[in-house]
Amino acid sequence: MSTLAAFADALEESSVGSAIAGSRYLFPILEGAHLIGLALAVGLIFLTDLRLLGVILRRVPLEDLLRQLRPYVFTGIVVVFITGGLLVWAEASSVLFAPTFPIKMVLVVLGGLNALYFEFVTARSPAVRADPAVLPRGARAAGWISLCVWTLVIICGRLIAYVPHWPGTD
Amino acid sequence: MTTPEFLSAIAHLPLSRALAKSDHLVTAALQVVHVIGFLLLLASLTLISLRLLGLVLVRQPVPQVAADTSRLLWIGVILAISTGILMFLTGPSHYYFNRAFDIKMVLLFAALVIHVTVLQRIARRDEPPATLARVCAVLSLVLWYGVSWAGRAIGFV
Repeated sequence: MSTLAAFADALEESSVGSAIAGSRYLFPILEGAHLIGLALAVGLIFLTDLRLLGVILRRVPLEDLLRQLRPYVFTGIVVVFITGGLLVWAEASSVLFAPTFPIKMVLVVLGGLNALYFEFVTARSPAVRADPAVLPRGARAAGWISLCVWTLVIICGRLIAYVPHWPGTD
Repeated sequence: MTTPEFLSAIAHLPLSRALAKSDHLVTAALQVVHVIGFLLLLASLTLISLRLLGLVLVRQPVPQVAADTSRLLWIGVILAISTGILMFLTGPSHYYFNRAFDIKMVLLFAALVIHVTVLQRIARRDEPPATLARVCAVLSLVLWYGVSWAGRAIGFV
């Protein structure tokens, strides 16, 4: 743990870390931009998930929706990673020790793997490309997993500020 | 009744007192639902605005995209506003005298008015007037994303 603590301190005390933490405006601006990036990335992914489950946009061909939303989702992801990275840089010693932060990172990886598997395997299968009214089970499963994982990511992210330590430790 | 008296009366409502005394995880849960409501609302708004701008789903008629996203948008609005009211009750004067909160409420009011009076009406037409549709889409995006940005700033002011 002491190596992590030393690393966190070094990050926070670096010129970038202290500049963000010490600025009256930079920190809230980054937080706001992180939220807006989330609305684009996670928000539009939610819409895609609901399409996979057949809840909304049923008459839009799946391929059209995936292809046309992709640039906006990617823009959101880039914004989220840049602003998220800078926020960790400025607050490393609290963020890195909050239990929901590593959980959030694991979930982000899971969400990413689920999306990649869907894009490169499920969405390319003939059964999905035929664009039936009710999508095959694999596509619906990808939608459910995505909805759950990204909701948990949001919950863990918001809890970073509320649960600073593992329960039972100080 | 003066404003401080009014705020204090709100703070002394049984519900407000219960919320103020509750575990901080209750506040955290309210915030989580508030954020998820915002994500649903912003994503739905982004999709219909991009459609009005002619950037996505151009093969689908505007009213169809609007009908599909409108329900989700209002679910988001209801989740965000109801949790927002509960959060306000935990500390009425903390929010009332916060500049970011003021800005958020003004932007929220403007965004809702534009949405109900202009955007929803335009989106019912198969061929909405192009310029009006574009202006309205950009204005809505700026206002609603502004609401979320101002909201994020409340804790830092």
